[in-house]
Amino acid sequence: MRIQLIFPTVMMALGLAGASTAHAGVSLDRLDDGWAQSALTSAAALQSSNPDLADAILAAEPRPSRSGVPLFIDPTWYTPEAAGTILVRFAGGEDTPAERAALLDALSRTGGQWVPAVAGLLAHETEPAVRRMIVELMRDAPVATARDVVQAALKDSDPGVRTAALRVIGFHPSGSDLASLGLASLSDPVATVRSEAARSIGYSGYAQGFEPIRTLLADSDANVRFRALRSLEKLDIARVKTLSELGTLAVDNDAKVAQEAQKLLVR
Amino acid sequence: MKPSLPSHTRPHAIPAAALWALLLAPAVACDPEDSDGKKNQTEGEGSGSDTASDTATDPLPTFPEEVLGVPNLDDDDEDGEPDWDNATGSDAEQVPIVIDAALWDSLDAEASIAVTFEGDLDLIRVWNGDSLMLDQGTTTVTFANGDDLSALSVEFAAPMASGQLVFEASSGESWVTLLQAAPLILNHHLQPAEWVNAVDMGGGSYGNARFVDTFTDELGSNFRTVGGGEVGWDPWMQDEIEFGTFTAPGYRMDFVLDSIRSSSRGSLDPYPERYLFGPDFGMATWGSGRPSSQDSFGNLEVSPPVTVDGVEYPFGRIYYGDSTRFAMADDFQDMLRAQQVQAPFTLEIEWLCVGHVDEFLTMLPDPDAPKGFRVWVGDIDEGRSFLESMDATAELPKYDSGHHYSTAGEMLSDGALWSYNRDLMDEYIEPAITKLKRELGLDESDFVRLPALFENSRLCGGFALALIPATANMQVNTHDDGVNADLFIPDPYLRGNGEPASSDPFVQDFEALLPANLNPIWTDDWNVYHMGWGEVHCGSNTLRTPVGEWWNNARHLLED
Repeated sequence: MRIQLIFPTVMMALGLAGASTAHAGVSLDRLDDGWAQSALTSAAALQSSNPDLADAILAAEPRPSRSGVPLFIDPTWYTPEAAGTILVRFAGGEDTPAERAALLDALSRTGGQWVPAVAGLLAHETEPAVRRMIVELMRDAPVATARDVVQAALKDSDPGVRTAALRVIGFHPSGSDLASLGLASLSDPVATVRSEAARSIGYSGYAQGFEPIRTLLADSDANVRFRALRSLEKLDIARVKTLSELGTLAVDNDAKVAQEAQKLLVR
Repeated sequence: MKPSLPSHTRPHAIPAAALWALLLAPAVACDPEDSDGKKNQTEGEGSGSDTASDTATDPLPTFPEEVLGVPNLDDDDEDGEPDWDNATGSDAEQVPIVIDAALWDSLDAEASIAVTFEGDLDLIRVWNGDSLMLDQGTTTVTFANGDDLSALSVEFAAPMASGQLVFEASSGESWVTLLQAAPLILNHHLQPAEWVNAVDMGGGSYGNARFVDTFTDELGSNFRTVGGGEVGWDPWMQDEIEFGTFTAPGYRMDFVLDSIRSSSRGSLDPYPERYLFGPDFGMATWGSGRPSSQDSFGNLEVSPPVTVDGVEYPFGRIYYGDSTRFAMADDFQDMLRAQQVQAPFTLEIEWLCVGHVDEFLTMLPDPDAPKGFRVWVGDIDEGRSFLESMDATAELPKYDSGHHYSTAGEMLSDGALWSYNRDLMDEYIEPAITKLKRELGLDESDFVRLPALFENSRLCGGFALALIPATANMQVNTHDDGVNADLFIPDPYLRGNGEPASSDPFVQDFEALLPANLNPIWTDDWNVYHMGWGEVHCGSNTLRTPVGEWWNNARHLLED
């Protein structure tokens, strides 16, 4: 039995609406990677030491979040020993994309050694919604792993995956070390990606991003102009107040952009 | 705007006591020489025997100036269908039209009276005893002198349905009786709570036994549960239903709006028809199309009574969240606006993952506040100040697994987290406060700013979820005095495992903000609700006592 999807629109917006299941899996025992063998070993260990938990992880039905997204939030899973079994279920690909994304969310709460496996599974993953969640989890990864995944993800054909990669730059503790990777995304053809690039570089505190982001003040998309302006404020509030573009932005057709520029002019 | 029928009703019922009442206010005869006689009527309340006739020596017989009633959307006969759908001539919600028994005596023996029915013809029926007399298929009828007029009654199908009956005697006199169905009035937090309901998700690590126990300990039999297994383990009681009332003089019909959020039996969808719909407990669904999260009723709240730019809103004003991504179903928004007395407005909730207005604000009674209540709203700067006041190294086990932070110090040192929250405050929360001030006639002194902190959710595409449980997202159990209240507040767990709530610095700070009329009850909602992207309010719902009389207090809002 699958969880009732209460809000299909939400699932679509999050890119979780696909129904394919069986084709997304990968057999860990056929992979030579060390992380794959480690996951299998960990799962076997849990099956031996705590079969009830192992069985529960393998069979549990998700619960609906308040917006209808399936979640695995049983706190008994929040133990490092559970990571391998969750990975085995995830890799098996028998769950829906939304449920597999939820398994990754649960995995990230275990405190276990899951980063190499999740990063390694990105290359095998066919579902964009799941790739997105794999990338999101890199916010907690060591910076070297995060860098590899972000680099790959920024080339993904799915804008949602590229956006997730930019959020890793914005929210990673070493985001400023990753931020240069996001500069090219300031000219992404998709406006939401450009906007996220501006925001994430601003959050990372990457000062060299100021001039590249400044070019977005003339972007055709109002949300991008607004986000660029907000991001520049985070990078150098004194400098942004001197920008010649502010005069134009203060009379921007978009009310939010105009209001933000006017605030800066009077500060 | 024409009132609308519910998009569908899906009933089943439990019994409840029946009530009924009517308002009979006399009308006056129109001057037959008045060129617009059919529309001519006496202004004013007019009730009981105060006949406003201008014929002093030989008063003309009177007709009720207006007949007020409630839509017949309950299930008195418990057949599982709304009573309007089963046209019968005797129903508690059919309101008698009492006509002066001396009518025929005052007219010639050959006189007749023609009755013409105008208005929302598809939403009103007029009965003569057990016989349907006027509806959209039959809009006129003529009575001969001596015909029995003692058993006329009116029945309404929808809130705010209106029409009129024009009685024209063959001798030239005419009378008009207005027909008006009650508006659906949704509840606010100054109304006394009668009972609270929630889903019992069972015990164990993934259950809500402590949540249920807390409510049960405080409310006893006024807390009701439905087993999770009966409703697909769907715990979001606030989102599935919204309580309101229909009232007319001396009459109360409780009413439950059934959201379009779910349509499967593997959810809370069947709950209102199984457990609420019945005699004097109406139920209906408005709205159509593919539901979004904004169609949930945690996204539908009501302010206490306010006066805005000189206009009194004695039943408060409805507010709900709107976004460019999704919005509440258009036809449901139309229905809310059509009720008029609670003039809805929207707040932008685009930034929130779930996207409900209850996620960051609530309104609580406060007898010392200028307006009798204050708005309690999450505030990022207060959140930062609070965390800075904590021991930066104290372990916070709930947050370690729940939110990837193990101490307050880790939260404080996460620059991106604060940049993100700064954006939320500047771009959404402050504008929402500004809009609340404008739409509710408030100023800064009417607000209490609560410590709040949001995370950028990985699973929710980068939208905001409460990181510190959203304490504004509480259930308000107001006492009969409309002032004192028990607050079922999400336990913030900013402390070690096993430590009592009283030791929690957030709890201590919060309680210091509370006026004496509010009693905090810290409620464990972490595993099922907080981690499920909601809080206490989302998982419970309160039926409240209606207060006020719309036909007396809100006439000014019903005028076009």
